[in-house]
Amino acid sequence: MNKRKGMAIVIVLSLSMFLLVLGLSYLRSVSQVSRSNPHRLKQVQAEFFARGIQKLAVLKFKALPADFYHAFRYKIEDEKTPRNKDLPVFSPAPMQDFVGAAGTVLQGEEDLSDPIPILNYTTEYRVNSSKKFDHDMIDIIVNVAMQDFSQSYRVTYDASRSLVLPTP
Amino acid sequence: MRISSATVNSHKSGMSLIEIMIAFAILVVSAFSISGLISFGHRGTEKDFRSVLAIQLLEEKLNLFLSTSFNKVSDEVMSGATKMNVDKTLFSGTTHEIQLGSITEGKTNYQVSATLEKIPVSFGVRPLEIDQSYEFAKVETYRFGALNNKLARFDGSNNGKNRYRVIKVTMMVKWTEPVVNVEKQIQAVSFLVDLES
Repeated sequence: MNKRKGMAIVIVLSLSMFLLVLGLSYLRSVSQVSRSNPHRLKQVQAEFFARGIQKLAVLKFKALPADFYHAFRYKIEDEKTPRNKDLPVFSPAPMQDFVGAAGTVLQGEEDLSDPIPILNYTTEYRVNSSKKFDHDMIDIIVNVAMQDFSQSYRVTYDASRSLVLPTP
Repeated sequence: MRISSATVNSHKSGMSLIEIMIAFAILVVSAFSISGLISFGHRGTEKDFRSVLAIQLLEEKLNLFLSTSFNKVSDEVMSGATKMNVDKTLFSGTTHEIQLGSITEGKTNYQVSATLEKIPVSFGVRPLEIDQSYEFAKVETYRFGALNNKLARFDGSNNGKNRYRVIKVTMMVKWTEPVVNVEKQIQAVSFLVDLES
């Protein structure tokens, strides 16, 4: 009979322990959500900023299409191995000047992202050409770096070319 | 003196009143602690929910802004100004309506506003110097000149001929956290670019 003495306390302590574990696991799940929210905000901020920079890159392409195609064609030829001996050397490369130096509007211009804490961003152009149809797909890739977070955003534009014949 | 066996058993078997009272006290203390913990967690969940709603509002309003025509924003909203703050509904009654200002979602009141700023942009390029040897198909004939930053300028210069074509949109959502009465705000930045002309 002495064995039954103190059983109530043991049962209550076990029950309390179970409730404590339950409560702590609930608190843990809540704190995980709290941690993911600021990360989600960073993702949203980086994506909207990248979308804006992609539009700026399109504006540059639309304003200077001939310069873009010449610089890009030169880049392709310049990167071939063995290099074409007749190809003149330009330094910095025309395509490098087209995308801009560090600190310019497409390449991490300071204050452009204020008040969003973006550490740096870069922009690249790529062309997927289909000569048969005289049709280009232009990829614009914006890489955004924030604290503890970096992401690349790609958009593809259909850049078909057409020749407007002069009227007689 | 004889003590009956029943009396002895009543002292030894079962739980004493003191034991039950101690157990009850432990149960009450632990129940209060756990309820406090759950209440704290619930407040945290509600706080997160308010943040999620704020982020959704931020995304929705900025998406609406970016899908609006540059000229519509430039002419009808900014009308000559280079920087302004907007905190009221735009394009009211049209399909392009963007509701800003005070918006109530759930139990929380959010203040949504946008700062619009026309920003000067100029792009640099090494222009091609075309001479008689030039052929598009022959890259060897390309001659690039020095870097020129004035070929594509959209900064309002030249008596407005180089007109602005980029508007920086800073969207802001503010709300007040109940109980602690702390104001919170989130922001996002994007650019509305004139690609129509």
